[in-house]
Amino acid sequence: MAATDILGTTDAAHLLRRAGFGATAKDLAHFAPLTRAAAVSQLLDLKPRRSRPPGGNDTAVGLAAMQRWWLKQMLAPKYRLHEKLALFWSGHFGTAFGKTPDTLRLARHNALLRQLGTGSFRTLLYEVTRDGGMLLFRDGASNEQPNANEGYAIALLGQYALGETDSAGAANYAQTDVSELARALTGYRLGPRDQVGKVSADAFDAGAKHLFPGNTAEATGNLGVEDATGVQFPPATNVIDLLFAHRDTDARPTLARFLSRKLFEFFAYPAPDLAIVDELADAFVASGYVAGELVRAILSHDAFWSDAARSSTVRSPVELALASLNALGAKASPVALPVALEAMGMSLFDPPQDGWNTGTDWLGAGLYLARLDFAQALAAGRSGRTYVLAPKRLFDPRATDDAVLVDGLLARLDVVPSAAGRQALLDYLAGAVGLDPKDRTERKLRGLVALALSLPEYQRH
Amino acid sequence: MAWRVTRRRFLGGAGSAALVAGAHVLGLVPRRARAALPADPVVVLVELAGGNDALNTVVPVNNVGIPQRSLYDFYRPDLGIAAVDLSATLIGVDPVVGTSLALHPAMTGLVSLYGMGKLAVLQGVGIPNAPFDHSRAAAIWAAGDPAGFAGTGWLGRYADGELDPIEVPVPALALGLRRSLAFDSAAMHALTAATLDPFGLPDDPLFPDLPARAAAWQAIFAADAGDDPLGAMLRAAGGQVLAEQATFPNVVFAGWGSQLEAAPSALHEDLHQVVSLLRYDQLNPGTASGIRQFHVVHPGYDTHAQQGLTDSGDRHATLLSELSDALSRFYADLVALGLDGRALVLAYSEFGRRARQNGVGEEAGTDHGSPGVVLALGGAVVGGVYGQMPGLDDLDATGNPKVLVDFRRVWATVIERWLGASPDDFLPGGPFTSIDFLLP
Repeated sequence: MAATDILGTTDAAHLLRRAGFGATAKDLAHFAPLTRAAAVSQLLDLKPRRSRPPGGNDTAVGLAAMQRWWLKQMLAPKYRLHEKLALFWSGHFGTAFGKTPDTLRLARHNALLRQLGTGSFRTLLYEVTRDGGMLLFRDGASNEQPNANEGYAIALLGQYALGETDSAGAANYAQTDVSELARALTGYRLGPRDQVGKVSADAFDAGAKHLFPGNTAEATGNLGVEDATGVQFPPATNVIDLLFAHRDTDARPTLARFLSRKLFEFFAYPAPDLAIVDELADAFVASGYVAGELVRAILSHDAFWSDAARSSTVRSPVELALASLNALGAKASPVALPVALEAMGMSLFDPPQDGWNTGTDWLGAGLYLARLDFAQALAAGRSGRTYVLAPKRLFDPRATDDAVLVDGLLARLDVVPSAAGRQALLDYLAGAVGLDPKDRTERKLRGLVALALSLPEYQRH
Repeated sequence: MAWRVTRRRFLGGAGSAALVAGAHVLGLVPRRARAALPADPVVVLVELAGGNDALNTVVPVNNVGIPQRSLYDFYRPDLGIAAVDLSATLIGVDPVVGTSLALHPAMTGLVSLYGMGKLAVLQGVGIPNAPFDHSRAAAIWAAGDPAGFAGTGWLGRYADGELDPIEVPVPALALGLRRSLAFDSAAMHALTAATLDPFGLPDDPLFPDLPARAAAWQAIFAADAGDDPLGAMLRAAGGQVLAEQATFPNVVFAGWGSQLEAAPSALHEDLHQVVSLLRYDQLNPGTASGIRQFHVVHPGYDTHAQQGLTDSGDRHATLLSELSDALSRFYADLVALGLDGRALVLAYSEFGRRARQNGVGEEAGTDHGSPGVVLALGGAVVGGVYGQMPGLDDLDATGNPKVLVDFRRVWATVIERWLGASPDDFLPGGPFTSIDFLLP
């Protein structure tokens, strides 16, 4: 094995930023000597967890408690990649408290994403389709014959499985496909205590449908499933199989490309070449559409480790906050952190309906101010009610050379500012001359942390 | 890109800000043809996100001209608002076919503004061959181009071409978590903020050190990003936070008597921030923000199911009630401040919804469709109903009423008759005939 396959600290940090939520010093020491393959395997190949919603399977808790619970899961090191993937799926499906303020169903939905998120994407799509949280969120529970509603069908096509257009820019489906698909998905009913929709023959539209004319996925018939007595039931499995059969204009698998590109952009960098997408899509198909294998293919791909990937994306608020806590060995109060995340634009369990922001959408100027607020609150953390940060653990108390202090902090945060930015930090620290040691620590060293966390270079990773 | 001839291009490059400012002083730039226009016209975009059901926003009451009412009842057995419930919100007749029209019964506030002649109801407006996808349709409205969004929005192009970057460093503000594509421009000086209140730089309360930190931030965000677009954007966003410190921390939000202050909804809160900022600028010309384009989003209109009728708590009724109440309170604030002549509110949605309801009974809803209704509100608005309600006897293959007014005509009217510029410079595919809800 080539020596370059050993990660070293820089690559370990890159991997843990993208496949997790940043790294503690201990994490880096652990991952640096591993090969790429071994490191990815350690993150990915874990025993499936029994994921239980925060209040257990039957007890609803409030949104704030749900958010605290999820952040705790994200900060636990072992399943970090799985939690990162759960975050991806929550944006992919867009299921949001704002539309569905049923926290028990949302929590179960989230547990589903976590449990199935590394497994077969076919299974995930099927289970999400009949999941109670989703049936409420996209109005699928009201989708009955003879007047189907298209809420879930249009999201399934455009957002969950195919995307609107293929790689050649051609539409992946027409309005008739939306209507026909909606009819084929009629028939789920959701009782007040049901975790999943129950199929109901009298709500199912058993008439003939015609989907995707001219595409490999073309299908006709009523698309239902018959029980022993000949009664037709809604066919989510059949319909979802059609989505996997869909082909782009150039005959490549639409769904595999769509998800490969989206996951690559989540982990690596925006707008990858089609050749990379196709390599990943091939691996995805070969695995039998196992999402975890697609993630492995992405994290093992040279493009993921290339210069193009480094510092190429804007940190989402949760990535920014948790990476900062990990790097600084700081603690956040479970109450303060969700509030700060919301101010930065990321309210867990409540994404925008079409998914989390990406890239520069995270950083309108006003949202940047919320990042300065977070940086300041963390840097000033002296209380368990907000944040706890111990400058003495970050800075050598005997160090008198400002450059040593500044560069040490920048190295710990793994950020390289512009020369002018570094100079600004040095100039700031020069203002500590003549201060007594306590003032120097409390005013200038904490202030230095606040400034470093608000560097523009630190907002990307 | 012939339509994108901006003023700065005309002057030979974006680099020479001083030249631009000088040119303005010398009067090389035709500002506006009509004295009646306000000096700094304000545009407030209110996006009804999700696809507002136009047919239950403006409802046919009878069968004059075409059998709209009978067809409405036929298509909407559970979602049709009974004629008897519409008696308090009648707004007159369709100017083309003569059908009596009413606003949704929840929209009493806007009905009274309609009675005062301050509200224009523009019917049948939409994107020709609209995509029934939320984000694509919304991007087309923002771009002002049916081909889709390609980097700039209609008001962003206007700002690039017509607004002096020295005089107006920040032309636009989007309230929310995402920037407004309508404001995207070459200069990218629009602001996005979840809230303006509070907007001060943070300090350590125990060991205050703000001046030193502010100086450090200045230096950090002023650094040259080199050939690195993402780096440049990040610095610009940080720099803008600092620039706004002259204005936003001083804006008085609470306690100045705003009708919106009770703030029963997020839309009220957003509009409250808008009007508070306008008030601040009015009272403090020396430190005014100069922002004159606003975008607020009222989400939740994607009523595929359980759309409801007119009871309080019904999904669509709740949305329209919030909208009507927030807009009328906003307008009352503008009047109280003497700003009603300076502001134009445009409420629009990415598309309308299908004529035929889906589902039955309480589950009934409507699917994505076209076209929509645009509401224009302001002191300069010539109130009334404009355009024809698309005939329910003439649905297209998807079961939708037909788009009768290209959405770009609305934007063109605003550019020409409100902003005093030439629409063809900023909207592709023209020329577009203006609509008379603003005087020529």
